[in-house]
Amino acid sequence: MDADIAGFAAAQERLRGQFGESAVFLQAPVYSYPPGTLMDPDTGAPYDPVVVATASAQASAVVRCDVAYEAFRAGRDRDNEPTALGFLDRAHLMLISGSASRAQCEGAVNVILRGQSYKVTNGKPDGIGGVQRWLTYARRGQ
Amino acid sequence: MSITREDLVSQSVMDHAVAGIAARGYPSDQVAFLESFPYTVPGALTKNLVATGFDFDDGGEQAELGSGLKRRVYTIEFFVFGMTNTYARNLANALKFTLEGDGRIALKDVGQAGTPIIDYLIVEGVSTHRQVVSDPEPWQEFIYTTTVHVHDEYYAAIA
Repeated sequence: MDADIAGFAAAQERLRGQFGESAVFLQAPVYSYPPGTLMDPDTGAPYDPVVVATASAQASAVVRCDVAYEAFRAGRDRDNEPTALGFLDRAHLMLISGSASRAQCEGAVNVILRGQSYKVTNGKPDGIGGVQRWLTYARRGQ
Repeated sequence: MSITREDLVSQSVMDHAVAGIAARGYPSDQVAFLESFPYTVPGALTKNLVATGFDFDDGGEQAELGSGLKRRVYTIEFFVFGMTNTYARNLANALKFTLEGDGRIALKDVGQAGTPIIDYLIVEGVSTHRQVVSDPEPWQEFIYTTTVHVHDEYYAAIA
């Protein structure tokens, strides 16, 4: 009996349709600065960080994803991390989307989920017996 | 009145830093100062933040024979949390040059109306370091510390 890989992929899509959530994937913004602004060729940003961009454009896409949060752990690694600024929210999540959404997810720098912004830290293809989905890893903080 | 001389030192250095950064043109919607380790929840990082006030001293030493004149060196650390590396590095070093100034920081008596200047702290050195965090959370990616050493001379009996 052969494994029903196609059936597995279809089941994943159905589950995402029922239990998934809409996440907004944001690509890196493109900024325009006032004429004459001295730019750092290494970073592509002005040497003077106080300079405000005159215009910005940022591509975005809404993708249906399953959401998985890192389990809360008691002890030193709690949900809030004590820092010199106070307790900062610490949340790691993984978004699972279909392979067809890879182009919309790959390269994103931020993702907005449930009204909160997360910084994308990694993305990779995933699946069983092949590739059926795209995983996006993100952390709360900016 | 229970305001100690240490309170005057910490507050004077912080006021000097806040005023100096504002004078250099860093707007309040991009940079904010707050107390270190307040154990409250400030929310997500939406601007470049400077956590200040984390300080300690060297225990002091006798400044001259035959008197109670004491010389104490305070070390005060400013933690700079930046939205980008460019901003964090720039702000931390702007803080460094602000604190360095002309080599002294006015010591103000915050316990008196008008906060008069009662003395001057001598700046012995200021340095800036990047704090590299392995497996950083987003707010830990661009952290710098600016550390200033100032010395204060006072009569211990009346401090």
